[in-house]
Amino acid sequence: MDEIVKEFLVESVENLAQLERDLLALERAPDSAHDVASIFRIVHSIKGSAAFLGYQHLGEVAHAGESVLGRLREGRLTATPKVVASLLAVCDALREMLATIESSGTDNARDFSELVMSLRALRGETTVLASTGATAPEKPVPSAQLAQTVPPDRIARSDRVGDETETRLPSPSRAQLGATAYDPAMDVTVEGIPSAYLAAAETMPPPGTSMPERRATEVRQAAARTPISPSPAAVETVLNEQAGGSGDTSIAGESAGASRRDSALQGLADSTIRVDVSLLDRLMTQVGELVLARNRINQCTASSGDSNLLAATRHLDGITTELQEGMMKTRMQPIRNAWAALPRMVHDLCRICGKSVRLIMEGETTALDKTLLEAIKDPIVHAVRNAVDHGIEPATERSARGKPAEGTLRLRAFHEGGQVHIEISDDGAGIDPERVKRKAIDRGLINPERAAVLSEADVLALVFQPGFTTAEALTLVSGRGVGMDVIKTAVDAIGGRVDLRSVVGRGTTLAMTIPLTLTIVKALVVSAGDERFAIPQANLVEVIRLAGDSPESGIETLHSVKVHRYRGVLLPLVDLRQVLELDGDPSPSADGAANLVVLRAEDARFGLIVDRVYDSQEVVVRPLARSLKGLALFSGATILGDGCVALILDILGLARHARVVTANRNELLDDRERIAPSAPASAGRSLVLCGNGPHARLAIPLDAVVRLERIERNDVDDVGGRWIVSYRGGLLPLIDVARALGDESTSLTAVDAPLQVVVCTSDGRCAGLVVGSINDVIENGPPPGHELGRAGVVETLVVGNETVELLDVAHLLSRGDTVPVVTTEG
Amino acid sequence: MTSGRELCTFEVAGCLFGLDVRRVQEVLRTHTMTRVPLAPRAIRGLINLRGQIVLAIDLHYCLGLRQTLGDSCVMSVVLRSDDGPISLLVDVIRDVAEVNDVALALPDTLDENARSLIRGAYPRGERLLLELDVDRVLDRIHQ
Repeated sequence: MDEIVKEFLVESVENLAQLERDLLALERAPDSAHDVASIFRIVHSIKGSAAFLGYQHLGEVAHAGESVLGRLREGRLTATPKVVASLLAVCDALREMLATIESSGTDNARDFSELVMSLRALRGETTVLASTGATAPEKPVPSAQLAQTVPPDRIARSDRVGDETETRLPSPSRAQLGATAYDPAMDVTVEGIPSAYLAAAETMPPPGTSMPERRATEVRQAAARTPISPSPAAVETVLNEQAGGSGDTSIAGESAGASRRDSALQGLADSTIRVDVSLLDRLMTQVGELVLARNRINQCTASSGDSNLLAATRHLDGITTELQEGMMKTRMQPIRNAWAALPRMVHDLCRICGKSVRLIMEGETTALDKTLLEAIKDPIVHAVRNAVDHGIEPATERSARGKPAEGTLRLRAFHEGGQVHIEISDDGAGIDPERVKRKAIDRGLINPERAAVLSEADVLALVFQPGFTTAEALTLVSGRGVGMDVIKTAVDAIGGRVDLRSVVGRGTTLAMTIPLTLTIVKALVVSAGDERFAIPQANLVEVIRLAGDSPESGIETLHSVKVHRYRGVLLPLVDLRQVLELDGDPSPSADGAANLVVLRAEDARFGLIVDRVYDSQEVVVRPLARSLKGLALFSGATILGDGCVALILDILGLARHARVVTANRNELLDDRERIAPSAPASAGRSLVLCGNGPHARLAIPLDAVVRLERIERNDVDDVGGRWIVSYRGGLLPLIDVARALGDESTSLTAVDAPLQVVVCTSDGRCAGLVVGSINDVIENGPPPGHELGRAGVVETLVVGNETVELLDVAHLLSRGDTVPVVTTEG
Repeated sequence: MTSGRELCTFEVAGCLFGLDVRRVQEVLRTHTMTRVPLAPRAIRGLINLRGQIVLAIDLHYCLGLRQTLGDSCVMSVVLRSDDGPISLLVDVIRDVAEVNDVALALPDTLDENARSLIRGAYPRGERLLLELDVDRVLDRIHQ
């Protein structure tokens, strides 16, 4: 494709983006002469270039739009929403044609004659206005001055077509107009004027002084304008910035404007430069190699005593770091680029949904890597669409609630903690946790018992499940239950996080956190078998060293899944060696020590059992060879400081492979419920074995158990003799099992150690059974034993060598001591 | 077919093979290799070639020959490919041999896997030099 055409396309796309912004601004402020002038200039420029390059259809549509704009500029037409809509349609049409030009080289897009007709109709309306003599405050140059610019004898011909005048103006020579630089608009000769242009001229306004003067004015303006690049829009921006935002662009200030434009152009041309993205990519790769080499040198010289060498190495280190940072910056783009299409989208959505929404964007200059920017464009669009369609209520409803009729949608981007945060907040209806729970239960995503004990954060997290929507009906815009899932998947894929916060009636905030760059990440190096692997820091929660495979050390087995009690939660464990099918001793080493790396993937946490944990390093992520790309467990490879290649683990892939992350989190709980719903007398049931003091042994059926917790005494409140603790957004009553059974209480009175609590649920009630110790969880419990007739105990069993009392959870919970925590949905 | 070409020759499991020398980037001794768990069997691991991470292919497996014993000091023949360099692991590196005689037909007893990768056979003294087809080898790897 011709260089000139390419330039034209690139600039026109930029110009159209500006055009759209201006049109939206114009709709809000219909009297803004500044916006009209800017819009006019852009359309005029496109028309001129189209004419020069021979794109007839493009010129036709542009001209039709320009004529309407001309009316606006003179005040003969007001910028009503209808007018703006038509102009937006022009913008879309131009875009479409530009795309056609890019792909096929010609502008033979579909037939836009309808659009042109409607535009003419708009102009047609103005004849009524003109005849009544109505004019807008901003009137262009007084006619006396205008008359001087074009001597009457230059008007070649005047034809009468109906009531209107058609005039052809021969092209003024360059010298006459003093234009020194090339301007495509200038090259319009009589022969060269596209026939469409002339045809459209038939609807020019009533005869009088206006027509030729206006044409001359346009030509003069074009002359004053300097050539193709940088684009007029860019100049305008610079000017506006210089003039403090209200650039004076009326014709009266033309000559002053011209000189200002010139100096602005100069500044603009110097400060930016267009670079091929592929060149930047290559440079980035080279810098990556340099970082690797630097790492190796650091390692080699670390043990050297040569001070010169060390000094030189440090110097190299500093330079490399700076170069790396600089390189990352070249690929950084302001998030404004991802937000560019949003104002128009919100505007259109408002019309479709019949709502009124104000879009505020903060932190537009927040920069992030180009690849990441591309990745979040879609999620942001989905989030905004959801907010307008579902979040913000219709104006009437809002007023009824005492809110302003116009909803506010705020986009906020900022850097923090080495990551980019993007928040999309609306002041709409918020997300009702109860509705979410109901929908989730309806769709079978969760069962009622579990729904009962979910924390608010967990409930909101349900919204991200595929297929979830609380929309009662599909709207044109959303409601298919796709949006939130798409957001989550996309953000997860780039190593980020998504959180939802909401207050019913007040609004909702979607918060995304994404890393600054992809190619260089901080990673923790671990080993399993004889190989070393890198774990991205973003997934790392904590590193724990365990004493060995015994209850005290914390590795327990539940349903043949290894688990570890971690901060009150059962953490599923994955043995890296096992998952990777590496050779070597499958169980932890003889001294019983094991290293546990607590990781986070999506919202789930799990522990990774590794052999050794080394240090944290900055590693350059290298893509895997094509034949290895199918391996879900690895996201890339890197070269460590000592020159060895190490694979980088894909934590999400690992979690999925080991099945610790599924559509339903906490699959362990699911399994339990499925396996033994309520099996009083079947052999082989699962039991949680507890102790109460040195002698008493208790067992609790696993199906009744929700969680095993460790609760600090300080957190427990004494409310009228009952023990209550704040738990997961609700209140959990605590039952001292010993006391409930009529024994001497050992747990709640004495020591300062945290309480061992087995959180149980039965018949919609929830309570924490406080025991002395939680000893074990066994799968194949013994067959039923003897009934003792003791309240609170079902029967006694023999487990191992001990006599164990099987607790009657339902009984314990149904006593007056407990308070129903959550009512199940009826 | 006649040829006046040069082949880089090497041994795998006692058999003599050769590759068009123009496709060979270098030959070297591979010291450390990182295994790739769960990878296709033909891929032995990854090696660090002057800062580049290169696939190391188990040629024994590709040719259907018996497994190499141990990993110590295996030699690499590094090929150029569209996806970057790829290393073929061999036992011993031999000379560059010139072939300008007619290729012999391949014996039927040859393993099917090997057969599809071999372009022709040339007598070399008492031994038979089997020329591998580089592109077919690369295709096999990428499957």
